[in-house]
This record gives sequence, structure tokens and C-alpha cells, in this order.
Amino acid sequence: MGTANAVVVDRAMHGDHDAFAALIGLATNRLYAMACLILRDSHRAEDATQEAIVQAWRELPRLRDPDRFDAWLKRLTVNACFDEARRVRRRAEVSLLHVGERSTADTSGAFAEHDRVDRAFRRLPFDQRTVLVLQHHFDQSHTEIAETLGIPVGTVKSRIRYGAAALRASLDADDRKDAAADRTTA
Amino acid sequence: MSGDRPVVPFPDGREARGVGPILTSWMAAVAPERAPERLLEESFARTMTTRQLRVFPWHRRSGARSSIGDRSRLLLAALVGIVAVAIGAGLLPRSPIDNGGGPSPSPVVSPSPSPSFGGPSFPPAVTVEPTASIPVEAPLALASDGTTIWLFTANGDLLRIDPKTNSIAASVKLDLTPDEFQGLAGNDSGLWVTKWSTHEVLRFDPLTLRAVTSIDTVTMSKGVLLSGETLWLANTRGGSVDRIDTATNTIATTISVGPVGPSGPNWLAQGLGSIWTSVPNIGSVVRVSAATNKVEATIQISAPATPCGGLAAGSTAVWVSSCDGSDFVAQIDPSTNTQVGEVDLGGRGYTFALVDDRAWISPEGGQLVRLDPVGHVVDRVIAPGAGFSGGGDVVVAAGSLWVLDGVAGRLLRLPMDAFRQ
Repeated sequence: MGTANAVVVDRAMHGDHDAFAALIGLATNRLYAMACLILRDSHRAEDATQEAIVQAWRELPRLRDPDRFDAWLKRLTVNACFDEARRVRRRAEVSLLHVGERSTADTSGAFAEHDRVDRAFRRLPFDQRTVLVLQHHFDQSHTEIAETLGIPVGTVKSRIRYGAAALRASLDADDRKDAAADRTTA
Repeated sequence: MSGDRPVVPFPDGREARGVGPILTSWMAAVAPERAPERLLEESFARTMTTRQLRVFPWHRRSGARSSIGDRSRLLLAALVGIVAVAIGAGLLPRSPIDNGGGPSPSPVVSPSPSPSFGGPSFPPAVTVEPTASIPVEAPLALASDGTTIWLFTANGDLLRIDPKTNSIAASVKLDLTPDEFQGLAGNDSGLWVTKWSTHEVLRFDPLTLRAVTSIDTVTMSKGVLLSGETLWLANTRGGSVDRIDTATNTIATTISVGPVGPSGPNWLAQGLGSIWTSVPNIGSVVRVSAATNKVEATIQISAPATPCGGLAAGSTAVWVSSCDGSDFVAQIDPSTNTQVGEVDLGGRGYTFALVDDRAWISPEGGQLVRLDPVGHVVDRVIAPGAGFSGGGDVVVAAGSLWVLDGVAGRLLRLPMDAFRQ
């Protein structure tokens, strides 16, 4: 977040709706993508993102450092995802996330691989998913993740370590299952 | 930026080989590039009606105080402690409003689980112990004809509950993902479940839960409502309310209530000779005559309520809940077909149950609340025992009120008397 944006943040902090709209307009796609990856449910991701945006507007006057707006917004979204994940929801119109929906040129092999990773990723605890998303999709360093989530760097490292290990174990287990099935059918 | 990214080892020291590139590639492939347009629209609509927090000078000071260090804070705490002890020992005068040696204040009613800071003010909660608690894994939706109860779960189970034995009397596995099963309605002639992904509404035997037939609804449909031999269907993507003849299992009439496309009619209720449906893409509740199949009124619902949740139609008030992050329910006066108020539930609630013409709803936060159509407030709060999460469907059946507790995974039965006071 540069100085120019810090000026816009400052205006939004003082109730300027247009300034807030400009800020959020820039960030919404990223926040929604993050929520989708963490929650693996497009509808829940919409709810979480919207909740974070409304909370950001409400709480903005409390933000002490306009330069921290981006990280602060990410943290609100992660927290909203946490809240959303705790809910048992079914209500709104659902548009399911289709794996590989962006790449029409995907082969069936890529679809299968994505599906395999998706299943393994869904098995991870929420806090591990979060750090892995911030690291691998948002390219954040451990320090940045720690700042975004407000947790110690050591905790970030261990969550990434255990998350990646669990994911690997899950993928390996699937491989073994597939191999066994192949042997049975052969 | 990522210079401190480590090689990821297994806890036992082995390397979690290749996980990083796999994750990066998968996330790049599945992450959406754009947020849906309505997300921005709805978010801005809500922020336009949401006040920013006021930051008072002491908030600023508290921010500054964080820099004074732990030592100063300890000194301040010690000083406060000394003053408190001095007051207690009679060394310092008491405040004039202190009741001194008089009788101690009356005990207050046990604290309500109502939202506290910044939330709406509710009456104290009355604790009512459930007369039955039926374990159900991941319950999602509840329906009843007043006698029998049906529900489906996030695991894809369709269940029938027998109120005589307070147990699951029949169960079948639905082989599709639970999000695809949106709406549920039943009576003694049939149990109906909407199937979002394939544009169908499925019919089951209400006793055995055996699949009977399915009807092609052409576009994605959501809410269903049974009224005698008629099944009403909220054809969400079709922008219509469809009338289905259950004798022939065919769509008899299609009543347009809004545009074709996303976020069309969601849920349904009946009352006052009308079918009521919530239509978020036009921000309205639409009233349809059950006799003539004509739209009687399109009732605009203003923020902060959003008309996409469940509905209840009482004789003097029609209620619609929100589903998109708003905790508000809107109240409609059916005599004028206008919105006359809204109530802040302090948490999200979805479906209503009418008891003696008064609407009850279970907002997230661990309670059941009754809505006052005159004061537009919550006027009674019931806490159904310990550990209740709230936010689940609620129905009246077999002389009891039943509510889903999604987090604890149970269906609770509560005595009706508690809701009649």
C-alpha cells in the first residue's frame, strides 16, 4: 500500500464513501479469490468477503496505520472465513466452484490432478489452509503472513510445515489407493 | 518477497516433496479471477446503510497508551487497586450513588446469550430444556406438515423423524453433494426436494423415502412449498414461481415474478390466500394470489434487510429474513403490501415458525427469538439448553417446536407451552 493509497484510506477513514469504494473495488477480486481457496465454496466465500468489506467500512476509523490497510483487510477476510467455516449454511443460491473452470484447455489428466489436490486440501485444518493460500497464491513471506494473521512467525512456519506434510501424506495415500485399485482391476 | 520460504519437511524430517509447485499450480487454476458482480453491489449497498464506528478521543489515547509500556500500565493498575482497597476499608468516601449498607441489589435474570456489545438489546433469555434431542450429523434443512418431520443433511442423508418415538424412522442416502439439495417440503402424499444442479424437483415417498419421480424444472430451482395437492416451486434462475400439479407431476402454471437469471426467487411461504416469495435480484418480496395465479404485489425491501431468506406469513405481519450477511429481518404489512419495519436479530436466522400467529426464528448466537410486529423488536428470547448454536431451521410439529442445532449436530424438541407465554 503506497502513500497515494494511504491518502485514499485516510479519506475513507473519515467517512468518504467514494474513497472506500475505490479501495474495495481494487481489492475485492483478490479477497474473494482468497476466500474461495480457503473455504472451497463459492457461496460461503461471497458471504465471507462481503462480511469483511462491511466490517472494514465500519471499523475503518480504528485503523491506526493507513499503510497497513491491505494487510488489515486480508486479516478481516481470513477472520470472516473462520466465522463462515463454523456455520452450517445452505441458504443462498449456490454456484459451485468447478475445478479448472478458468482453463478451458485443460486435459482430463489436469482435471483429475486438480480434483486430487482439491480433495487433499479440503482435509486440512482451516488454519493450515490459510497459511498455504497466503504463501502459494499470494506469494507472501513468513513474516508477511505473520503480520497479516497477527500470529508469530514460528507459528506460521509450523502451520506451513504440518500443512504441507499432511497434504503430501494425503496425496500419497490417494496414490496408493489408486495403485491398489489398478492392481485389482488388472 | 518469499526469500524466507523454507523447504517443507515432514514432521519426521522427510521432505514434503513437490507440494509447493503442486499447490501453486492448483491454486492458480481454481482461484476465480473475478468476484461476482452482485458481491460488490450487495457489499456497497450494505456499507451505504452501515455507520462507521465513531472514534472518541479516549480511543485515540488508548492507542497512544500502548506505547507507554508494561511498567507504566502495572503502576496504573496498582494505583487503581490501592484506591479500591481504600474505599473498601472506609478510608475514602463512597460515591453518593452507592447504596451503602442498604439491601443488595436484586439478582438479575441470568445473562442472556443475546449479542452484547454493539448488538441489539434483547429481553433476558428464558431457559427451556428440550424434551428430546435427536443426534443428526450435519443437519441442513428441516420441513414438516405439522405431523411428520423430514430433514436432509450435509452428508446427503434424507431422514424422516417419528415424533412418537423421537427417533429417525427412515433414512436414505442421496448420492449427490448436499448443496444440490436446496429445498424440502412434505405432506402425507409426497416429500419433495429441489435438485439445483440438474434443474429437477424430486419426489419421494414420505414414509419410506423411496424415490418416486422427478420433474424437470428447466432452470435451477430452490424453495418448495406444499399446499394440498399443489406444489409451489421457486424457480430461482427462471425468475418464476411455478405451480405443480402433484396428481400429474407436471408444471401447471408458471408465474413470472422477476427477471430470468441469478438470484431470482428463493423461498416460499403461504398465508392470507397468497404465496409469498423472496426475490433478491429485484430486492423485493412478491405476493402471488393462490387463487388466480396473478402477482398481487411486488414489495420493495430496503437495506439492511435483503429479501433472500425464509418467510412467514401471519395474519398481521409477513416476515422475510436475509441470507447474505445481514442479521435483519424485514416486516411487511399484508394489508398495505409495504415494508413497515425491520428487526435486528443479532445473528443470522433463516426460517420462521409461527406459534399463535407470532413468528419465531433461531438466529446464530444460541437462542430462539420472538418478533414483535408492533414494536418491531425481539420481545421474547428462549435459550434451549446448554451448547445450542442457533441459526438452524425451525418448524412446529406434533405439538412441539423443533429446531436444528447444526454445530452440535442434533434436532431439538421443545415444549410448545414455552412459546405460548
